[in-house]
Amino acid sequence: MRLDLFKDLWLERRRRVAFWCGIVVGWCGAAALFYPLLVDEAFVDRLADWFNPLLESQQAYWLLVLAVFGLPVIGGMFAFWEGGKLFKGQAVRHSIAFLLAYPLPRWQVYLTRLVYLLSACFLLTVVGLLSGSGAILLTGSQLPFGYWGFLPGLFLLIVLFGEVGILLGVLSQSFWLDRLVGIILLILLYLPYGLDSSDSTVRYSPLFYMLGELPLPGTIEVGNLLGLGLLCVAGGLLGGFAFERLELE
Amino acid sequence: MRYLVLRTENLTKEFHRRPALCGVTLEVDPGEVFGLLGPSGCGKSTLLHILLDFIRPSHGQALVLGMDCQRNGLKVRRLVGYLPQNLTLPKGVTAGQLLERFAALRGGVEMTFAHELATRFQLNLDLACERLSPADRRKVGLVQAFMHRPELILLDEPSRDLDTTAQMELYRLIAEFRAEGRSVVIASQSISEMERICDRVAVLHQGRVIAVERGAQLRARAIRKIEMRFANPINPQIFMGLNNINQLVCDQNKVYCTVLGDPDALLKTAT
Repeated sequence: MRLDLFKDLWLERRRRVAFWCGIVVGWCGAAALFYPLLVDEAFVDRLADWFNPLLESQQAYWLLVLAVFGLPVIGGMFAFWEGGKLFKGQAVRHSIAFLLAYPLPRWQVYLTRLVYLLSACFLLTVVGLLSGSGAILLTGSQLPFGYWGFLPGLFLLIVLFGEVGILLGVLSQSFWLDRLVGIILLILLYLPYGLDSSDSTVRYSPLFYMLGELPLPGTIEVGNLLGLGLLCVAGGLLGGFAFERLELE
Repeated sequence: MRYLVLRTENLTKEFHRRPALCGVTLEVDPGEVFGLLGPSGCGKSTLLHILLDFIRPSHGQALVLGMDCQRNGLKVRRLVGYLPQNLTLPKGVTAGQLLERFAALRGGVEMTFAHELATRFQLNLDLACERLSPADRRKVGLVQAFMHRPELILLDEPSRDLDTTAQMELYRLIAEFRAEGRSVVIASQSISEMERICDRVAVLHQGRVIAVERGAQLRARAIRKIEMRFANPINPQIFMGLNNINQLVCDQNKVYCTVLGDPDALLKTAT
């Protein structure tokens, strides 16, 4: 990996990352504002039961607002969009081609961009969980059990979205295809929620890999994380394989 | 066996089954300035992109400095300088900082020569990249292409956006590099530029090399469409005797024709 190129990427895209971090913070603020209205609603408990029936309604609210809906959607959108933008578009392709006119192996250029995306996703996840914990404390609630245990799973899930974005950015120049794949990904992520968690069919949802079907208080589902981690490694390698064969016209 | 700086054999490239290059075979000698001439979309940039391994040929082979440009891409790119047709510069850095970054990417580049080149092109290195004019961006591209004194320089439309003074400086620089035994390959649409600086020129049309000429011979092969207007109606017979005139049409005081090669005789007859 080239540290100088990594630094350049961050300098170039820092405003975009800051904007998305702002959205995450804004979401947490909105969640704190709506907390008194929604916390005792029955549908919140029912939705939370699909993940962890042991949680009380306050904690269930924050689990849903942050770990199930907020961060995967906002973080996933950022990663998917940013991942695609790292390799898509005429100006980006021209600058990549120009870099490759220097004695740099392709894998170095790819790895630098991938590591930038990983670091941006990590920052977004940490900012999300930090501002989420601020919002939780602001409303007088307690942090849900294993709150920071969501960090690796959420991070990996967001990275997975980013790697799909990268793959599309390398393979396609069509923005319509991006949107279509984005919608399909969202469906894949949330469709199994309608099913009973005791049914094994829900397991294909990355969200369940992230959260675990019944996460014990304060523990991390290592097996599920490992599965998600392996998916991320496969996604990263697949993107690198595609970039190695990319023709920069 | 003769050492060639660049050698392509039957180089073919298809994009979505549409040929962009068809069986291009070229040879460039050390110390030669070689031109690729043709209209937009004729395959000039595609050829340069294959040499730099941005894209891979469908058929054929390209050897740069005696090395296969695909298998030894890194070694080739270490010894080659390249100016792209479209140069995108990052924001938030000055031209000088950017050149230092380019030098660091390449490794072992003396910045003194880069500064000398910037002075010659009258490029202000303290200006931020986003404030550079198109001509200045081109100059940044030229400086980074020449600053490591490469064995072979590939220039894609080098004089585009440049003013006359900068163009002259570029031509002088190319002549100096040629004198040092380095080679330059230039892709351009300008016949006059090719005539002026190239030792040999390959004329490309729809991906094929239709001719390889000495630079000075280009004018003799050029076809020009000419329209002349006179103060009074004239007799077209006076132009009939010229043997390089075709499609002669006279309309009152206007004359339209095509001239193959040097238009000097036509101009003398007209005046």
